[in-house]
Amino acid sequence: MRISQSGVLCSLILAGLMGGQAHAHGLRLSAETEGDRIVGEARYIDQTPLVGVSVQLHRTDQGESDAEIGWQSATDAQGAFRFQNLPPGHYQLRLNDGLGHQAKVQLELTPSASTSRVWSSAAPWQLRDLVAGLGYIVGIFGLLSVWMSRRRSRV
Amino acid sequence: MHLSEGVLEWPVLASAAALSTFGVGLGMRTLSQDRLPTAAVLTAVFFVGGTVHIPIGIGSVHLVLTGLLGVLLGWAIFPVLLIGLFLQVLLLSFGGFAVLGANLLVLALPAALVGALLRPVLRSMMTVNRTSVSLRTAMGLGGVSAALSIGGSILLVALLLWWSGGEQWLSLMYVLSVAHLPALLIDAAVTALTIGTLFRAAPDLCQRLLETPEHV
Repeated sequence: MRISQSGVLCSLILAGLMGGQAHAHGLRLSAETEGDRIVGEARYIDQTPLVGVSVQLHRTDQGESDAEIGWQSATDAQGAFRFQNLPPGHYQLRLNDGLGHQAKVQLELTPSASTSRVWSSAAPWQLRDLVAGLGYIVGIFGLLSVWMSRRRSRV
Repeated sequence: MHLSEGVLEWPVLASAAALSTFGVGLGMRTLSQDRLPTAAVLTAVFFVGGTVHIPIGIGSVHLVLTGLLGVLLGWAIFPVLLIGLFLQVLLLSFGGFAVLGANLLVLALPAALVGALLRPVLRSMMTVNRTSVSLRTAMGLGGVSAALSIGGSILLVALLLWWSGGEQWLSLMYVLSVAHLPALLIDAAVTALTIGTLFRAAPDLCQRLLETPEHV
């Protein structure tokens, strides 16, 4: 039995869509200030925690000469980390998983007991993002086809 | 396989972007209008394939499929991956816009070279045997194309990292190489099965795809 060409190609896409999403690229770093502490967690965008990854904290309000002043922590089994006994000021939190993924966020620690929460921009993707991507692909190649047709008709 | 922003120095990023632009221009010359539907479907396969992650130990690997695209598209893999990677950055937060050129070069160049190497072999086989190449041969060449493409990409990543910071990135180079060995094996198996199936089920389509010259 002969399988149609479009059937073969569509089955390739379906195989991809049905393959599941056990893990995913990109990481999301979130952190919260609590008095003199910074607590946070690091997860890949499919919510898998980053385990045992080094997290660096640096002051950003003390000029170039103090750029090296920093603290270091590591994520636990849940991807969580914490820094304690920190002076008030502006900080940058950096994380690199050693696999080419990294994230950083800016924080401000105030003398008051107020809390604030920040997170890096990588948000979890959802099925609608995949569907949107497929729509864009159809649109882009449709436009390319129109452009090539017009170019050919001019020639 | 996607490098994140902030890893590579700007001269490396600029050079990679320039080479990728040249590759896209080269690829567009081989991308005729009748190949657009196939290119669109393979762009979708690449875009979605990157989200299919297979757990290996405590980590996971994902499908890259550049070997498959390299064999089927040749140099046209450059514009196809440009669209796929752009949408992955935009919608899935894979890599980054600043590093798009480097990621495109890393993924597309080895696959395009492998395609230039293997496409004439497959074409001559299909000319000799009109019905199709044997399943075993197609699968073997598919597996080889995936292994060479990903192996080439790993080497290219290591080269770019070395150029960016030398010994500073030695551990990352090592981790990337080791982490992608399972990816290489899985991708080779998936590509072998896909190429084997395509060449058996749709020889006309494969022949038309292979007819486009890989040298422009």
